[in-house]
Amino acid sequence: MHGVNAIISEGDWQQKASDPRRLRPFKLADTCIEIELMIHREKVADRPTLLIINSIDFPIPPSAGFCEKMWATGYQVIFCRRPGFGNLPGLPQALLGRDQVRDRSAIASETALFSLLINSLNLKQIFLLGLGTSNSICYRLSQINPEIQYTIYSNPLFHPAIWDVIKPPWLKRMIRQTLRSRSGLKIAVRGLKAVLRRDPIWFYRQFAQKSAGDQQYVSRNLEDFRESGRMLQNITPDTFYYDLQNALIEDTSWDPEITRDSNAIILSGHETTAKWKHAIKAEAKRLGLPIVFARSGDLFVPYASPDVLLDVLNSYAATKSEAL
Amino acid sequence: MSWTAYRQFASSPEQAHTARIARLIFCCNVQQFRDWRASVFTSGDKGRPEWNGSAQDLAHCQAWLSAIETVLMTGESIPAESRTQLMRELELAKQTLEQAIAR
Repeated sequence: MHGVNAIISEGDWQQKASDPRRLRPFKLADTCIEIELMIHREKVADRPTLLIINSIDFPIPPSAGFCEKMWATGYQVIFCRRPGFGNLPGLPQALLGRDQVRDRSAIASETALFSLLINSLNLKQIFLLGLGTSNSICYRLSQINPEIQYTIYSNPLFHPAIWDVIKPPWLKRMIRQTLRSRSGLKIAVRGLKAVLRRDPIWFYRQFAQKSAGDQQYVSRNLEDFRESGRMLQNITPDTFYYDLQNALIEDTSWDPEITRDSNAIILSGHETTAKWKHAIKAEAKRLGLPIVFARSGDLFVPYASPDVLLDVLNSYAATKSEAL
Repeated sequence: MSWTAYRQFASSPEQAHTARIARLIFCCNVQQFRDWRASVFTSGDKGRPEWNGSAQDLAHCQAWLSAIETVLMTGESIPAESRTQLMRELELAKQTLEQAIAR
């Protein structure tokens, strides 16, 4: 395995040099592909990793407070920004066509990349946290990489009830438009970027309107959400299409035969619609996965309710040590 | 130029590159256009810009193909109940990239 510090290239991308949440490009061993990575406190520590993969709506690491809280309880946060969601190129164009999204070769490719990343960083004892649209990757990654001990699917979008959850209504119409036609996709993405460029905080307050916990997280981390608005200017319509289409429609591969015996849990929030809660409970039952509802937070539920996330992690650790 | 004429112009492979520039000029601000131009051109002979989009795409496809092949080679370690589906998806990705590179 390659030493981590030898691979990470120097360079101050976005945040100040003293920022322990600095995102830096990480070159995968034996390839020329780079992934943007935030290793909290800069170096991989000898402790369990909370590995987070971003959702389409917020390609930014969790707050400093969240990372420090995890550190204080024994976990190191490592955040991966997916290719195409920030400063680095996305998947090759050939993988972003309609057929490749449908046959899930695009999502499998991204999964392969993250598996190589885990191996390149030589990570052990991984607790994987999927958020929103990244859960399809996490579902596969947890099967493909044996270093992942436990997976938390936070707000997985595997149920059609998603349309009732997206607020405000204009955003729902815009997202539906992206899935109908190429021209609709381009117009919608251009419109979304314009909103995010003009006033990202207004956008996120609208997007997170169902949840007081999410609203509070936005208010406490305004600069992160401004940065998110800037990063999402770089997303191409094809990447946008791929991620939404995959998360909302095409990924029908969640299989109870696999999930039933997996070390995984679904995390959601109470601050959402009753219909969504009912639907996600039904899906959790079908998959044989336990589900936890945090009192605070919805889209950003693990960040808004870090204590609930810690309870989940610690419960698993306790169960595991009992079994030994 | 009318929209219909523009679309015919843009759909021609020979004109696609010029059409992209035209679209960018109309749709973006100057800085966005310059950023884009810097990302897809290199300085060629005599300081003339040269289109390097194809070379970039090719290198990108090759890098991803190599990553996928590495994971496929270690596929035996994937639990049997997951292997069939994951390997099929990865094989499809591999074939897509190989075809793109061959073109």
